[in-house]
Amino acid sequence: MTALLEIKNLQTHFHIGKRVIKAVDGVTLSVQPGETLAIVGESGCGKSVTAMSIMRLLPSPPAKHSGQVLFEGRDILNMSMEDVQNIRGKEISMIFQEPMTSLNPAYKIGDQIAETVRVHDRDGGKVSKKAAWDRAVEMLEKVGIPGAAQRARQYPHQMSGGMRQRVMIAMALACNPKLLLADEPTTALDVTIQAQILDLIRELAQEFNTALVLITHDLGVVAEMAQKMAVMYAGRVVEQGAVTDVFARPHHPYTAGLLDSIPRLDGMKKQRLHTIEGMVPDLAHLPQGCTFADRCEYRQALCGQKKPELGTVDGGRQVACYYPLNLTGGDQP
Amino acid sequence: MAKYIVRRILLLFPVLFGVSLATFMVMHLFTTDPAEIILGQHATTERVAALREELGLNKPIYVQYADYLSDAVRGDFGKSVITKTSISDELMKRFPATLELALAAIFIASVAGITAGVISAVKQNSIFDYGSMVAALMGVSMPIFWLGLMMIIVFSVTLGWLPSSGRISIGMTPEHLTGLYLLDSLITGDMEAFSDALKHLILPAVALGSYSTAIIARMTRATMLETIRQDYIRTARAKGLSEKVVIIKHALRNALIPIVTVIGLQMGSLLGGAVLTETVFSWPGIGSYVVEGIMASDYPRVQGAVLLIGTIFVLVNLVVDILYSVLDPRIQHS
Repeated sequence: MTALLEIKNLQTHFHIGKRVIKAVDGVTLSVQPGETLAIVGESGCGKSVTAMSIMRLLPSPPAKHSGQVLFEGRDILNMSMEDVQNIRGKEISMIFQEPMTSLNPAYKIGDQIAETVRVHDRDGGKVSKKAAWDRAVEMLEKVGIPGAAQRARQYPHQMSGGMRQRVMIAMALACNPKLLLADEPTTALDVTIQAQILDLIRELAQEFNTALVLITHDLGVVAEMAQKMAVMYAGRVVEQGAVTDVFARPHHPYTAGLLDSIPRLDGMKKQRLHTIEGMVPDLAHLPQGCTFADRCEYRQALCGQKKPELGTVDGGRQVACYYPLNLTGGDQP
Repeated sequence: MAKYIVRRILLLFPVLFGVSLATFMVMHLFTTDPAEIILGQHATTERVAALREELGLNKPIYVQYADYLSDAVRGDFGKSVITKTSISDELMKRFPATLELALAAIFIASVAGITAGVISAVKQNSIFDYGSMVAALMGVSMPIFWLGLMMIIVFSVTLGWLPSSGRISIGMTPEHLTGLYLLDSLITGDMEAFSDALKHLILPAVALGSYSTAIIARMTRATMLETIRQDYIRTARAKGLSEKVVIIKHALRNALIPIVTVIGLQMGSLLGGAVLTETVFSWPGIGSYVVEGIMASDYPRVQGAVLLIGTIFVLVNLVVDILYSVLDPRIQHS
């Protein structure tokens, strides 16, 4: 099966004055049609920048991309802006972290959804205003907004954060995209609403057969939503594989550290939560060797000299580490 | 909404009462006796006293004010002490000239100012941005009468492209419908009069609008810079909209509120503040009428004109406030 999205050694660097911030510095990952991939990592590891780079949403300058972002075999990074605009919202859609500010306050939400429908109707036919509006109402019903026909005539300020995120989802899926990028879609919402929104995204992604890239720092969400996961650290993917495998046997010391930091309710004794010592490196001055080496319990001399590349171990799992943990035998990278 | 408008219109009365009182007092306390001016320096004391009685200037000042006010609320601003003609009639005749000039100036200022401001914001720190902001600084700093005179020297005297004074050439005046020559000549289909009136209008309108253009350009740039960094602009791009639609439909629409406020305030002051421009270009509007009135100590003229200008200013502001709720659905007047 050919991958829907294949990112090869993506680098997104921000040139600010004389400084170069390497926000994304070598991301390689792939998403199959209909599949859900979770990108996990702490704040500032480059998750959001990766998603924005896929849609070329970062202002350039200062952002500078290199590498490849292949969507159905075509490199988005080399496309004309017009081609990118044809893909945005139609083939690839995005939901953002901030539902409160992501909708335009000056327009009715129905109009904002209908606008997406109309702008992508370029192959003749000309969707009428009425048809686009009806589609907007239909989408609002699909995302579970009661009284969709009336709600469509409301403005964003008349809705709660959860409702607005539903509107964003309706807008993102209005054109049946093949890929949905969800950038921490529930971070700004109440805990009770979070589960509803995640369920909604999962159901609709299944219904529309949309592949999903879910960006999150919540490993619980990963376990529940995704089949595959990629762990990012300091602008690089350090480990990738099926969620169940990664949870059961993390190969990268950083992944292992993350999994150990999840508080558990079934612990018998009162224990201090595991933490990863040290700080994320400065993205303007990345070390020569492995970016995680300074914080790694298992570091050896080689780790400080050269960056480990992402390599395949254990039949299908990928890890960027010279000394992976929990191997079952099989080839070393 | 209707309640809000009625309340605002009722508020107009105390404001105009204050304006009328202030102009009345200033004109009566600080200007020379009109009777002496009318009669000239060789007049006898008896004749001056007789004229003062005729004009009602011998009555106590509060009686004079009460007389003036009771006439003014009926739309009668009295007679000019110099020409003896009705001031209300004269204002009515001249108001379209001022309105046409102000509308042309604000039109030029809005189109040029918003365009320059948007491009400056989108291409921040570019040559265009620096160039237009320097031009805007010059526009704000240059005195209007100086700019007007320079334009006359260049475009009328040296190049001979455009006329330097008046509203229209003699004998070309279109049939009176609205009093706005451009509109009247268009309605009657008199294209010769239209182009003649347009040529007369260009220089004064550009001169009058230069300051407003600069103010609007700077305001537009500042608010657009803020707006294009909003999250919903990123959403608009993510939907696949073209950059033009993103900037105009999504960003400019949200930046419009402060811009409209500035345009409204500018419109108010253009209607009343065209005094210098009208004088430099001999434009037969209210501004030049006021100046002539001040020179001649023709106090009823000045009072009448200032009261009219004050009313217009307050009304323009009311229109701007009503526009807010149209532009931003979050604002509701109740």
